[in-house]
Amino acid sequence: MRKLIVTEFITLDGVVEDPGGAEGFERGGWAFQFDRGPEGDKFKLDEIM
Amino acid sequence: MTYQGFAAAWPSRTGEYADKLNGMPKYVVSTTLSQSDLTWDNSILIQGDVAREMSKLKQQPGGDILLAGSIRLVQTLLEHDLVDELRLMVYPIVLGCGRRLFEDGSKMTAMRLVESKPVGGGIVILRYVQAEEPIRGMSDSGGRKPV
Repeated sequence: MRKLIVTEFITLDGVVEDPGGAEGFERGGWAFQFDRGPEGDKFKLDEIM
Repeated sequence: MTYQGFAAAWPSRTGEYADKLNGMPKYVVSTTLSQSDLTWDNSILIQGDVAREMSKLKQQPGGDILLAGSIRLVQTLLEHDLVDELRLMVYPIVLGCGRRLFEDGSKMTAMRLVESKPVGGGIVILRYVQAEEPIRGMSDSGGRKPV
């Protein structure tokens, strides 16, 4: 059976809203305040490969 | 919301990640969009009973299904035990407001950690699967054992 994998950006207080800042949330875009580095990028790339 | 954001951003981009994302089939669960709204290549609309449709989708042949963002959908699927793995990229920030993944009233669920990996920026990647057995002392009856 195919697996369903949920992948989320999340803050320390469990917020998952608008990490990219495109949804008009007043505190959106929080994920862009951090550089996840090459290992972080690789993880995201591997997810869809 | 997540789909619309992705569909606005990714079709015009190129590169390894964008090309892969643009080429793969994308299942869209929506009560407001119709198939003609789905302009991103290889988008397939799912409507009706979400839990049943996702359950059917998992039984079809094909690769694993990756679901990003989509808070409300994820909450529904978690409620129906349809999520096989939960991947969290934990950012070192307290936001103080905003929609949370697990809200009050979420089903009590024990998870088993299968990977933890710090990456750049103080971010930690955590991968969980559902635990085969509930954690000892945990119960759904609302009782909490003293520590």
